[in-house]
Amino acid sequence: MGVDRFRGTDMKGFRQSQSTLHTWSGLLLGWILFAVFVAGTAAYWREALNRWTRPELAQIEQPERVVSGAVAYLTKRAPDAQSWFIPVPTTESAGSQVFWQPQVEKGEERRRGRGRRDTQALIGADGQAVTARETRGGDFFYRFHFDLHYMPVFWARWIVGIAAMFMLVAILTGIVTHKKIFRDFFTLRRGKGQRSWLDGHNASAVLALPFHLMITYTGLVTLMAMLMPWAVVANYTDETKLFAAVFPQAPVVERAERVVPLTPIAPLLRDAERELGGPVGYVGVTNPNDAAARITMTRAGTSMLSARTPSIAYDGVTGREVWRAPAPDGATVTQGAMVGLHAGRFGDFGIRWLYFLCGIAGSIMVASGLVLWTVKRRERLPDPARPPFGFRMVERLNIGFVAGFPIAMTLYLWANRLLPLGMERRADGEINAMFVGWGIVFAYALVRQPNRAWVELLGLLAGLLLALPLYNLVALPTGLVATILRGDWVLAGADLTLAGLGAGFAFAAWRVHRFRPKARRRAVREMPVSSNAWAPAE
Amino acid sequence: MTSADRATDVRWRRHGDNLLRLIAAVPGGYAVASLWAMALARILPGDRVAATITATLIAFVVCAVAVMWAYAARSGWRALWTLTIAGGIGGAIAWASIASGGRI
Repeated sequence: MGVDRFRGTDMKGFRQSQSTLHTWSGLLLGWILFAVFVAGTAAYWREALNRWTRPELAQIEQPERVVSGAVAYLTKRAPDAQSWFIPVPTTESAGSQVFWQPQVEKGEERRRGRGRRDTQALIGADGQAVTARETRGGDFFYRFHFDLHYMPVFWARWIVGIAAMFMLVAILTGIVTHKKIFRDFFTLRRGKGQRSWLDGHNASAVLALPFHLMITYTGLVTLMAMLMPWAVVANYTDETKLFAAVFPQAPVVERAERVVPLTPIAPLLRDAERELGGPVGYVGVTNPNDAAARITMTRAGTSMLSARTPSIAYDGVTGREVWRAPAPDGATVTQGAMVGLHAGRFGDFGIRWLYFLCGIAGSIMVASGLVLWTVKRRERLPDPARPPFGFRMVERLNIGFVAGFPIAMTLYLWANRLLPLGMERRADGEINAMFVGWGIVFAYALVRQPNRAWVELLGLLAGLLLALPLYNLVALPTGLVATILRGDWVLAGADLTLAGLGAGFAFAAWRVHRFRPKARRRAVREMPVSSNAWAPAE
Repeated sequence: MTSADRATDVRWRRHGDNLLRLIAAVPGGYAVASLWAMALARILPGDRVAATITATLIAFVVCAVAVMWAYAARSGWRALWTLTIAGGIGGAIAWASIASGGRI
């Protein structure tokens, strides 16, 4: 009987049921997960990519000078704005992307400050507004990681959230499926077709297992207000009451309509650093150049684990402290620490590298799992020359995502280099280039014979990655030689990492090219003709 | 019944069983997690902010375990009714607590 498989509560039956769940939950959302995982991994170098994509900018040496310059710029550019927002750069940042919220004219609707080009500016190392090429830099990969693109943020976050939930289930079922999880980890049978793929999948999964579990669960936590609002509903009639407790804000003051110049910012930065116990990450100014001006300083997320960073507010005229965020309770700190663990901002370069490598392991885990699905089934196909439609679709979607998405990301970096600097809506142009390129690669993957498509597209990816640092070397003043001589390890590291990834994909392309599936014919003869290639694996 | 009929019968029963498990897992797992998030938010000690956040953090684990149970249970029906009872208990606790204590 069909349900016999599920009968019996012994360990074997349990493992089998969880193996089925692992296979299908992993496959169903594996492609989206792969794109989210890869973009998130790249986003660990968000700041470095922000610099890399703006090669005309000088390296920041004195962050305080940039902030003072930002205040001077805003005083001239938007003296009577409602508020200013100034991120404090580090020596790794491209600059300070300031924005302001203009006064609402009578009869006009409230305008959004963020994301509007006419209410923001990039302040460079010398404290002046700079005109770098228009790009979203590494920030785009960061936003894509949870907002995707070309769709409302609401739907994108639900899709990513559901994918993350499937991932959590896939990881937990993956753990219980492997009875010999640690012995499996030390097993790597090379050149053995399915066994090798399985071993590769296991190794990339087990190697960074604590990371995978942590990153998936904390990823859900970052979106929890949206995905799981029911605990809030159970306790609050109005959710803003909870948010006011979790994100305490300095009380709002009305504009006095009396022009008084702002107190110098640098002494306040130093005072806030002392009071908050760490460097300042954001400066907010409300009612600038007014008698009721307020300056709020928030501690940098790079200086502590919890993402719930404390703030302090000063009178903008006298510079006296007027408010301080109350100490958060344990649960808020726990949740903030989970968000902080996910984003990894607290880490120095060593930790950032660890995150990056674990992210690559996770990407390999998802990719090898997807490929394993086809490898397992190919050996049991009744007629390998004519696989069923579903099998061919999975096979080609795998190519379109696993080779295609990294190609698309690399094309984004190429578009950053090659699009005309004065182009209208250039930042959007870079993103469109990425997705148009991805579409072409996808179409190619659909029509080309799969084995050839793998080799050619992995080879193309390797070539595109390896050529980027070469292009920088020839065409830009920020080539590898110059950056190494200057000791600018952020930019040099970015070029070297791109080259390293290129070499890795070149190796993968070469291995796929040389791979000859020997076991296939024998396996087919051993299987009865009626065997169902669609039955769950194992 | 011919053996072909029997094979078809078996296949449909398996499809039905899988469908029940899917319903138990996807809308069911989320529903159980949501109801227990509400229940825990009401009964956990500490102030309301802490209880609300802690309950939400636990809810994701509840969701994952419920999905796993939907496939580990002996049959699809069993998965469905056990999860219905589990969710019902959470819902009842939340309802009783809100009805007697009210919300902030």
